Amino acid sequence: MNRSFFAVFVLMHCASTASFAQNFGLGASGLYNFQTESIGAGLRGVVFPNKIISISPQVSYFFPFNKVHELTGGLAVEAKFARTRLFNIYGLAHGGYNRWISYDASALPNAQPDNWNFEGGIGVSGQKCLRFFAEYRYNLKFRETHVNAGLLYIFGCKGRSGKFKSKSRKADDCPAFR
Amino acid sequence: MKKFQDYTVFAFALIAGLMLFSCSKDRIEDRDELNEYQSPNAYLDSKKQPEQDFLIDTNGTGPIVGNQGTLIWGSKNCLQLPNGDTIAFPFNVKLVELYTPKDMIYYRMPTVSSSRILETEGEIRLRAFKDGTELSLRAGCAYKVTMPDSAPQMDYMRVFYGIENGSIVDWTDDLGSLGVTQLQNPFWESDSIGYTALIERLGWINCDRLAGTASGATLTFTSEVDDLTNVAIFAYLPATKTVMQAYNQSMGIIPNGTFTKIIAIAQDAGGNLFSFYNELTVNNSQAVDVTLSQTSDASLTSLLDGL
Repeated sequence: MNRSFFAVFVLMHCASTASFAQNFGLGASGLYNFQTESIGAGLRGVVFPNKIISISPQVSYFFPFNKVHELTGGLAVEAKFARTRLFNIYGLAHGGYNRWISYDASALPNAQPDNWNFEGGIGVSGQKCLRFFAEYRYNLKFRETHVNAGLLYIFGCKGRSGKFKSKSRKADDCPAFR
Repeated sequence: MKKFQDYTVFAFALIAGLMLFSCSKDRIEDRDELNEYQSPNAYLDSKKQPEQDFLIDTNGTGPIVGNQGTLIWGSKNCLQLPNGDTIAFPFNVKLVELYTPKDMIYYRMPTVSSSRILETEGEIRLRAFKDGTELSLRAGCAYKVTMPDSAPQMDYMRVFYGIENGSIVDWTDDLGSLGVTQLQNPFWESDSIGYTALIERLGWINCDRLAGTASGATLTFTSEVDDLTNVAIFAYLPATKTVMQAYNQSMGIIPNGTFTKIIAIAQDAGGNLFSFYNELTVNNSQAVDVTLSQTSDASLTSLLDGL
């Protein structure tokens, strides 16, 4: 547990330093799987959140009270293909390991606890430093869709207005792309 | 802006495509309710061969003749009480005759010896009682038994004895393992009546020989519609007249290449009769999918008669 706290502390510290400025974000989200009718929560980091291509390690957890109780950890690649001053639209691909905890309660033939999932989807995200995001994703293995919506904080940004903290530049809109 | 609109249209088209794409609720679909059955043992018991009871109250030349032609010669002096005491007249001899696969199935008496199939010409259960106390044969004594067969041909059939373990009877030709010293010829001799042998232990007796090997195939029985827990499943191997029974939905060992007839019998809570029949040539271990269908006593009897 102490190691976990230490890792989170280091991550938060590094994220707040100049080297990570505008290059890293952390977020949390809620999930709903339409087919399994399950509610979950997710955590993610985003590397290069303002670049066209972003990389996002993610974990999601669907709670035990659901019909499907599972934990998934993986890596997503996001490609922004449309952007305005207010939001981005992106496609994503995600691959990860899935631990289906309640597999033995399922009638699915060959249900097993350890799975490799691949998902594709589409998402929209804001441009602010604290930005919303919402994704609609399709799980190829289980043929299920879910929405994943939450907030993402970009380190190195300046508060709610989305201004830079850069010393060398005047205050300006936090641009998603430059 | 035009470009953005194009992208947006594309994005929503992709979403619509995903929505239309075949989604699945398989992970949360309820297990289909399986049809449940009760044990068919009451039905099978109602159909099985009765145990014949012969009251022996005087000396004679014999033989005792069973309903199906079994002949028995024996002496009162060969019988003893559990404590070794001799007995006096009268006493009872009881006999069950199983000469067809139908009767072996009704009696749930497969012909398998430690997972190895037996080629069989028939089974009998021969017991003796004095005032309700089961008797045994004295050491060195034997009862002569003839099993009827209109065309006995084989001279290699051995006397197998049943080892009762609960409701399951295993077979052995090793009298020593039953605590009896083998003194008589362990083979059945064929004659114009059938097969004749000297029996050195009362109980279940079989005229057969080992036909299987220690390796072969195992059949497992599964069903997507029926709960097989209480279903009685049998196999009949015509080439060796072998009857097998599945325990815990599994049966073996069947030599590869064996033509096999599968029969499953069950009753529902209302007493309705259900059955399943299938024929296959067993070439390797495999799962047999069972789907029971309602039948009648006459139909099932006809099916078993035709094995």
